[in-house]
Amino acid sequence: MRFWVSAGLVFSLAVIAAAILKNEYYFFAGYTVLTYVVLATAWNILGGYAGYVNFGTPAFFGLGAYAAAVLFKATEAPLLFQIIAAAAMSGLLGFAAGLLTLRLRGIFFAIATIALVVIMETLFINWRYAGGATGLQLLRPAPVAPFESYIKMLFVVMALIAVASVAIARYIETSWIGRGLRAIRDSEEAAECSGVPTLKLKVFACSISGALMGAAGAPMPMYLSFIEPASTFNLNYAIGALASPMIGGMTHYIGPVIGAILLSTIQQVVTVTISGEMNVLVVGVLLVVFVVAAPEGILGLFRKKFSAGRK
Amino acid sequence: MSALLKIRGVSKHFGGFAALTEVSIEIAGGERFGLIGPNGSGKTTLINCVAGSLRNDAGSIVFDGEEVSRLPAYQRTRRGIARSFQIPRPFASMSVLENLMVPLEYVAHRGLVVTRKTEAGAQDEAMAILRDIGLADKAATPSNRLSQVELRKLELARAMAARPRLLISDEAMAGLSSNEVSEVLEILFKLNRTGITIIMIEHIMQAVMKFSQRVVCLDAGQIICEGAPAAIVANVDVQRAYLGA
Amino acid sequence: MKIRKLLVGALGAVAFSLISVGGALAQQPIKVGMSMPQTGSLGAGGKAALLALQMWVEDVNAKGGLLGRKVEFIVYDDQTNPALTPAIYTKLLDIDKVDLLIAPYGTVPTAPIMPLVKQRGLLLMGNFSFQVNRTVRHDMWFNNSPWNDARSWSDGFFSAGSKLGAKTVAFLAADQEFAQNLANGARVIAKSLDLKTVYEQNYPPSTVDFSSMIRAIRAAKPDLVFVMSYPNDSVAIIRAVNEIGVGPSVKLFGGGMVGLQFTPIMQSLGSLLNGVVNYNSYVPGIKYPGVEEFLARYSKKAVAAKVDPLGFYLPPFNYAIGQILEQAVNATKSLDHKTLAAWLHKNEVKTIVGPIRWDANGEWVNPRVLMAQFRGVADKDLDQFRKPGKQVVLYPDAMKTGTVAAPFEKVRGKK
Ligand SMILES: Nc1ncnc2c1ncn2[C@@H]1O[C@H](COP(=O)(O)OP(=O)(O)OP(=O)(O)O)[C@@H](O)[C@H]1O
Ligand SMILES: [Mg+2]
Repeated sequence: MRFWVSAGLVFSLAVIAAAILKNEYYFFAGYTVLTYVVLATAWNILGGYAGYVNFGTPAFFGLGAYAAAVLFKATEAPLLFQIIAAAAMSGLLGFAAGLLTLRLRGIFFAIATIALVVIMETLFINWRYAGGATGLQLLRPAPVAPFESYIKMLFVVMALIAVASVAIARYIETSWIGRGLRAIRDSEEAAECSGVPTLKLKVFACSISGALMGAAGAPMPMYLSFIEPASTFNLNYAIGALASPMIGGMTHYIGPVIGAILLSTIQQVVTVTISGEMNVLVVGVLLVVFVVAAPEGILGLFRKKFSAGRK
Repeated sequence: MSALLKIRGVSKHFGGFAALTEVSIEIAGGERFGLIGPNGSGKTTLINCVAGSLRNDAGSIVFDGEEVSRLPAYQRTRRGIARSFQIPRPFASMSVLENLMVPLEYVAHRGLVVTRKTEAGAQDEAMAILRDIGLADKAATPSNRLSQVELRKLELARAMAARPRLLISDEAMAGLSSNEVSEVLEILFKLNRTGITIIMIEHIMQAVMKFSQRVVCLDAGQIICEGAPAAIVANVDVQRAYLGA
Repeated sequence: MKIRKLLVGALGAVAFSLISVGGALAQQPIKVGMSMPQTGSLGAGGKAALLALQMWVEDVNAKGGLLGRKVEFIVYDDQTNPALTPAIYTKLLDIDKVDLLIAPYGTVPTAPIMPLVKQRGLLLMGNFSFQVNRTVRHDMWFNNSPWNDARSWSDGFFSAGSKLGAKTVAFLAADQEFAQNLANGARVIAKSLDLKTVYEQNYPPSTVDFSSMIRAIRAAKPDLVFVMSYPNDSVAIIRAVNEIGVGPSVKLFGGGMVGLQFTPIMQSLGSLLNGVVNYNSYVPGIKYPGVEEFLARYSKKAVAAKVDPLGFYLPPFNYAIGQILEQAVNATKSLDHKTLAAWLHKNEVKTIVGPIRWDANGEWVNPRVLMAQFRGVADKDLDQFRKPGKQVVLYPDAMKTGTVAAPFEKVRGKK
């Protein structure tokens, strides 16, 4: 109950902000921050709960973005359908990645997911209809009423996706599914012998995680009015999605949210204050600091408060 | 009475190494069964094949009239085969109680939607098992803070939480003091009295001989002798296998 | 879950302080804002371009600024990542409140800000992008690059070829959209000149070994070989040609090889470049008023700033952006974007890269993609490229600095 009230509150805040704030920069920056909230939350479902480290976030994010762009180019389908298509495509890719876990664990799985990014990027570089290496410019339609600007609409849409992702992650975490995933992380063999259908659960987690990453990518072509492979499959997404839960904490659904807001806000600020090189450095330094000083993330520092809130 | 578990001609190779060769054993429902053999003789491999952690290369494993040797491990657990691990594998991020909630939620109290009631039911059952096994006061302790004895008890408790019909205990008493050994023995006797078939793998001869109604001795992946405890102790092959003479 | 609230509050506070600091001053500077790729794949070029723009800012301020106000230059690094440019440009507009906008170097980082400037009706100075206004069709966009559509890249090559009496042509093109775009333009021209295509090959972007293709070209005995390649491929192709040779039939070789304009590549290929006829934006010897003086000042600063020491390709054109803005603002005495755009559409602007006039799409009415032939280039000598004659301009006719040397194999052999 408390969760739904806060979730509703956060979402209403986003809507109110869109209604009263004139300055569009906050929405452009906020959109990016929310994208990382979704990516980090999605990543944590597989990486945090089940312990399968996924470096392939850009593959899922990018496939979602391209699914939306191609659908839009072919049919001018509205944003909602683009998001659904993107989630479906990336969910399917997640399903395939889930089957990989049958044979690949630990570092081998992580490496395979990097390969996934390369494969996806190559695929879209060579697909002329989707713009190839040069990219595809898209003329975005007018925003849907009551929004008067497209970016505000995208911001609210991304806020909705973020709230939905966190709700899904929370459901998974607090239900038997989450317990099963944690069991897999702790000992896959013991989990299996305790009746946990480990493969099914991993495939499920991979698919959900992939679908949410795809949904996060779906509005990107409209955000940029443009799509192009190198930035769409950029490894920054992989780093952000992985670093945020590590910084925020992986054991509670709020950890990735805190980490993503902190990290990507800092990154946004650094980009427009210091320099691009610093941007990468900031992530690195934060990661090292947290891995050394607070291995359980920010949540670990407030452990009592959060574990008390959970059954 | 028909056998609960029929192992027929089971072989298992690791590369070119034959860990099990044509092992056949039948175990009756309700039986207390001992499995002994020197280090590396294939005991754990055999129960890995039975519980599903490994696939046997040849032979069949029939549990309660059903061929299970191609089923994934979790399916076998749901059909009633539970095991403890020789090297304890607790769910280290969870409390002791939560460790038991895993099999409880995935076997006995399975259901897509978990209501507060079913969850409470599962928790009650977990607490009951912990009381039986003497871990009740540790229910909320993170399982990575348990002592060696407690870890072994947790292994048994978690296996119990799957409500097994066949419980395989893989060296649950290794490294325990004699008091603790009799404590664990008592627990296993008690479980057996409720109708659970038990396979005990053990190096502690006194314990296994006291517990078992029937014993099989493995050596180098083959059965070298089978019989009542007294006969096994007296068997020259067994003595030779153990003493390496 | 109060974090969002806090965040919005914090951002608000930052914005407020920025605005209040900026306000109240009577003679505020005129702010010119942009993002420039300073890291990532376009980073090296971006840094050189940035230096040129900073030179313009210094120059204009030394002259007393624009409309009696100092010019302040605000630039952020977009890391060659188009995902970052929308937020950067809204920051420039809504928080930094810049008066004038310049696009980042390159097509990719520019594309996402086109809808933004169109929606808000803003003047945007283009920066070496290719047809980025094609879909958006913003009438307040003015590119600084000397090309227009795909045809404008290959005109020169074929006109030089036909003067040599060429009858046949071979095409070698990277299988990517940009190269294919150029190839299509080139094919149209070849057809209009009645050239027969005797060889045609699209190679995948990852190709590293071109020897079999070069052999096939030699076997086809073409008069012209038109190549559209990316920097890594360009280097590999030049090396393969020098190992294998393309045969005595070939009069001209080159055309659209990206990378041969870049100082490090020119320096490392050295004499292997001799004979190649390739597109360019500026080469020494062209007498645009002021360009030589600019390059002399530039190369001093470039050494200190550790960027491209020659700076022929991008920097003069970036300096020109400043000059274009300066002339428009001075002529109209205004910072109103509509007024400025209207003036730019009507008037010709004088820059260090020559006079510029724009068509309705904001591209040059008279594109000036040069075709220049490498001649007498020696190995391991950077300074030789500063002298006229190492790259002889064959096209456009108005800028010719010499006549074509052919056949290719004969020129290639000479140091
Ligand atoms: N996964 C595996 N890969 C390769 N060899 C294995 C594997 N598992 C077991 N073995 C080998 O198979 C043989 C039997 O091992 P197993 O663990 O079944 O013996 P055990 O009877 O349980 O011994 P212990 O009394 O020491 O527990 C040993 O030689 C062991 O090294
Ligand atoms: Mg063993």
